[in-house]
Parts: sequence; C-alpha cells; structure tokens
Amino acid sequence: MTVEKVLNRNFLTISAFEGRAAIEDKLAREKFLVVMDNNNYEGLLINADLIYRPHKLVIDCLSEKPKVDFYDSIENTIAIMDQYSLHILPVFKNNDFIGVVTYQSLLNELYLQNVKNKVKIEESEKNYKLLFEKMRSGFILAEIFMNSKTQINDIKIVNVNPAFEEMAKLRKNNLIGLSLKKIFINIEPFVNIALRQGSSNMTFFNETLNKHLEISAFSTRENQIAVMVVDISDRINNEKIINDALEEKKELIREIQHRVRNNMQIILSFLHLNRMHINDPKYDEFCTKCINRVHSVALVHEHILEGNKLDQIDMQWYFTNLVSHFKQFNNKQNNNDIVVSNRKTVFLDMDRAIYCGMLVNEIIENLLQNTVSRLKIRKIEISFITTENNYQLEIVDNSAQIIDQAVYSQSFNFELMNMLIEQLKGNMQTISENGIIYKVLFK
Amino acid sequence: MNETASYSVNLSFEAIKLPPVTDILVLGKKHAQGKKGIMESFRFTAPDEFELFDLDNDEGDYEVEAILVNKRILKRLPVSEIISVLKKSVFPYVSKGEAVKVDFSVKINVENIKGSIEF
Repeated sequence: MTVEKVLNRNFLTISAFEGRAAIEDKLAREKFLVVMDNNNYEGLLINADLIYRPHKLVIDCLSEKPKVDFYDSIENTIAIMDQYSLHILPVFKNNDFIGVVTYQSLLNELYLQNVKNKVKIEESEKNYKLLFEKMRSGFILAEIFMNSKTQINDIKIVNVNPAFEEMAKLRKNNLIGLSLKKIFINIEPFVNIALRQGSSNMTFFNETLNKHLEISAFSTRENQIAVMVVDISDRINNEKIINDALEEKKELIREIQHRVRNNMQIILSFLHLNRMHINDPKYDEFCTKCINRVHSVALVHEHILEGNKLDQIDMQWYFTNLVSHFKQFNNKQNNNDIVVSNRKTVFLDMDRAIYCGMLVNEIIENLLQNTVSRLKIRKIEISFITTENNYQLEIVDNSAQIIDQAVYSQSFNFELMNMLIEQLKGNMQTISENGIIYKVLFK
Repeated sequence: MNETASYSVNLSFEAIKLPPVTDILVLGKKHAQGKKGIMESFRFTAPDEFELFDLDNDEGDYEVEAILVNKRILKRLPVSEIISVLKKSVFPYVSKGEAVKVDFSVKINVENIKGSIEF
C-alpha cells in the first residue's frame, strides 16, 4: 500500500522570493504552500516555518523537510511524519516533485485498509469454519508432545470436525484430549514423515474404526499437525467388486478361447488323419494348405490362452510359431530356410493378427509353389515393425525367380493375398529384382 | 485669523559604498532579512563578491545563523580559520535578530625565504 492512493496534486504555489507579509493570508487558508523558483521545487511552507523562522522572504522561512518517494508505503510515511512532528510531506517521483501527502489522509487510508482487511479476514474465517463444519472428510487438529528433538511422546487431539465425530462415533468433547495413537495405532512414523517433509499420505484398514481410510497429514506449525481422514471403504469395496467382475469376464473369455482352440484342434486332427490316408500328392498338398490355414488361426487363440493379454497378440511370438509349424508340415521345406527377424516386439489386435498370419502363410505358399530359387538353399525372411502411423510386414526372398508370371499372378494364393490385404485396409508393394520383396503397409 | 508655519533644516552628507559591507557580515539568528534574502541582495549590489556560509548547524552557544565573507579574504585565509577568529572575537557579541558588519583585514608576513645562487 503506497502513498500513491492519497497523493494530493491540488496545491497552491508561491514564489521563493515573495515577502512573508504577502503570503500569510494564503497560508492561513491553505495550511501549506508549495514554494517554487523558476519552476523548480524549493520547499513546502507550513505555519510552523513562519513561527520558527521569522524572516522577511519566503525562501528564508523555509525549513528542510524529508522527501517521500512515490512508492513509499503509507506506514513508513506516517513513521517519518511522527519522527519529524510534521503533518504534511512532499512526494517525489524520479526526483520530480509531484504532490503532497497529509497525515490525516494517510491515517484515513490506513484505517480504511484495516477495516477492509478485517472484513476479508472475518469472511475468510467464516468460509473456513463452514468448510470445516460441512466437509465430508474427517479433520483432526493435533498437538505433538516430543520426548526429544526426534522422538514423539504423544499426539493429542485438539479439535475435530463433525465428519470425524461421525466416523469415530464419538462426540467432540470425548475426542479432544484423546491420544491419536489410540485411534490410529501405527500413526507415529507417519506423523514423523509429515513433520520432516511437511506432509504425508497413507491408505490402510483401521480396525478401531472398522474402515478403510486414506489419511493425509501436514504440519501446520511447530508441534502441530492437521490430519485429513477420508473413509474409502465404499471405494475399496466397489473396486473389489469391479476387479472380481473383471476377473470373471477374463475367465469367461479364456473359457471361450479354450473351447474355440479345442474345436480348431479337433478340425486340425481330422485334417491330419485325412492326410495320412491320401496317396495322391495333389490332394496331399491341398490338405497341407488347409492345415496351414486353420493352424494360423488356431495359433492366435493359443496365444490368448497362454498370455496375459486378451486382445493383443505378440507378433514376434506368432510368426515364430507359425514358421515353426510350416517347417514341420511342409514337404517342400528341405532346402528352405524361413526365419523371423528378431526385432522389437509389436502387439496387434486379434483380428488383424489373424489376417497377417494368413497373409504370411499365403505369400510363402505362393513363393514355394510358383518360384524357383537361384541358390542351393532358399532363405525367406519375415519382419514386422511399426512406424509412427503404420504397421509394416515385409517378406524377403532374395533368390526367388518366378517360373510363369501368368500362373504366379493368377494363383489361388495370390487371390487370397489380395483379399486379406483388403481386409487389413492396407496395400502391398512387390519388388522383383534380385529376388522378391513383399512389403505390406496398413494402419 | 491666518495661521503661519515655519521650518528649519539641518543636513550633512557623505558618500557611501553599496553594499555597506566590504569584508564580512555576521548574521544573527531570526534576523528580519534571512540569509538567502541578504545573499540575493548582495548578488545584485556586488555580484560574485561574497560567499555565504551557513552556521545553523554549527556547534557552539552563539546566536549566529550565517556569515557572508568577501571572496578576496577567502583567497588569503581558509574559511575554517576565519570562523575560528570570528568565534573568538565577534560571535560572543552578536545578538539574536542583529546583523553585524566586521572589518577584517589580513596582513601576511613571509620570513626566512632561502635560495641558492649558481655562478
């Protein structure tokens, strides 16, 4: 609060070399006069100057008075006035005289401010009291009695709010003076943390009150703490209900997956049995392809049963197992090496993972059926990565040469590949230069 | 009846200097003309000849507010020396509301000047 608020810019000026007789009436009327000489401030003339300096010229009557800075506080200015027994002082801003302040105006402003502050404090107190009374969390104010600098002897309750009375099922009168240790048995280390660090929080089951509580304590002043107590029993119970329901749901989904996998295993078993009785290589190949296709779907359900995630498939795991099966059941595997690049694990949802698995299946089938290798051992490498916005599936055969372009591009595998890419809402790039590279991009 | 009146005049005259002070003026406290007013009048009558020394806050039990000293004297004696002489010989006789003219002549003697002559 600076003197700016009470600055008086309306004042009468007189010349420094005027005779006192000429200004005595003005001074009696105005109580003070500002003395100037060639537009320069010379001083502030008050009645006392004429009494104690009875000279003929105004300039000689002037006494030096302390200067007040525009940004000085009202309290400091009053103190200066008291010290010099003056009721008025000149005010300066950047060494320029800009006005005067009077003792009365400063006192009035100070009084006004005090009244305003008092009203604000009263209002604030009222609000805090209302908050204290109406808040749903329990509130305890406690005094700490120390044995030594670090060892707590006792923590006694000084005040509680109605919410805590309700929690403790005790009246305020019975709670005040009671040791906090009797209500919260293990509170001492918790209070110690609050004293050292300013605040602390903990959640626990309180046997005395038979409730799950979340309490936070903060140090209000030396040897005093405030403790907020929130009854979280309902929340804990609801969380338990939700977790149980979630666990039950997971169990049900696992059960469904289990049954789906079992059914698929039955289909696979039938196909394997059927294959054992086929002598014609053409039908054997057809049966193998069917087994591979069904297996690529069954593998996803197996992953869900084994893993923790219900809808996310680890694509590294998936492709590795897919390739392993392919090697085991495909007759044309003798001179082929199919590998999955060891990249960072990428997870994909179940639907798209199945499409990707089937796509890999069809691409490899098509490669083995409609191309020849320029090398003695053919190497096919599968990689699956994620970029900022896309997933990228890449299959590289660095030695493949297409036997017949027409047969290759009109094969059933090729048709299926296009259908699966459409399902993924992606696109495929094929680069046939020194082998074949398939690059599938989807979001 | 007609009234008659007669008068007689006695006069003498001499030349004066302005300002009437040539060396030092000692100004007593609460003199009707304050130090700034006096200094201002000296500025008109003897521009740049006198210098004002404020003794308001000076220690000592004197009724003196200020002195105006001719700069000619200040060239010969430092002001502290002048004040010291005035304190001893003049200030005790100055009353409140009074202005005292002081004739202050300074005579400087220099003795025993030595030197060497080369042939």
